[in-house]
Amino acid sequence: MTCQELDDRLDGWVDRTLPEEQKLEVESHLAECARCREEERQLRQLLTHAAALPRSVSPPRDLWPEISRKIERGRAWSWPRGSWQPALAVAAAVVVAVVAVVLE
Amino acid sequence: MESGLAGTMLGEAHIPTGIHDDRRAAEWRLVQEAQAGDLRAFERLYRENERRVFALCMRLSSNPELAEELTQMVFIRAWRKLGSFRGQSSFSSWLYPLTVNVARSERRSRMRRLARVFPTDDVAALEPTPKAPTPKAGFDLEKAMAALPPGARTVFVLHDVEGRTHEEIASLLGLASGTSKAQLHRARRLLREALGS
Repeated sequence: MTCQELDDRLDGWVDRTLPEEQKLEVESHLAECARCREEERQLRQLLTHAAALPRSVSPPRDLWPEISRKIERGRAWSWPRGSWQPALAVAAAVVVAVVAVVLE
Repeated sequence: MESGLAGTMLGEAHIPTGIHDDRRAAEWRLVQEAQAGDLRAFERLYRENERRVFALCMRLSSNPELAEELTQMVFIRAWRKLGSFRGQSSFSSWLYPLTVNVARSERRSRMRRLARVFPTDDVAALEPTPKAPTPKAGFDLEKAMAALPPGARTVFVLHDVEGRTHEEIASLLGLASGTSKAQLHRARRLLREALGS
């Protein structure tokens, strides 16, 4: 295995997703190649850093007042669910009546 | 709230089943109240999930101010779509793809706006220089992540920070899982270079 081939498989090696046969090849290359061992060490260090990052971060300010204001504004402008169909029917009837009167 | 309802977004295996069920039941009651129009119930769902959503938005956008805006957009969209949530998963799991989609579609529309104002073949070059996020812990890595190309950054955040599999990422982002692996490889290489320099 060349160093380039090892680089292609390094992710699978540290993520433990390599097939058994490739694992053995990587293992034996790492045993012989100090440069690739250093690459592996750096990658593991990076992954340790990444795993240690907080998955929860508080927003610097309370976002709820703005969210609730926008939701309320949206509610004021939207028809209650299911109520627009009768209104639309009435509007359509008015349009038809007006057109009928105009055409006469 | 790290160990609250939002804790079920990932890492729920360590929660004993009884507590897990109680929490899910309590959460489902809140969802139903919110679905009936109760904004106070929705606020409680927001309070349980805001920190997870904000952290994800911050890392996907690399911009704390934009992350605030994205977090608002996520919850406003969640409110509008709440009727489609049937409780098959936790609320936080339902919120997760929505968060990723909001962050990605906002980026796409920002790029379209920039491309209209500054016509160029290299639209990516128009992206604003990422600002360093605020948290102190892991600051160097946050900074290095912010400098990654957006596609590579998204996959790195989802895989190596959030612990998602390539299959999950492929499904979330509409990619082939091979593309997800290639983006992760690129991100890890660039980050190793950045952190080693």
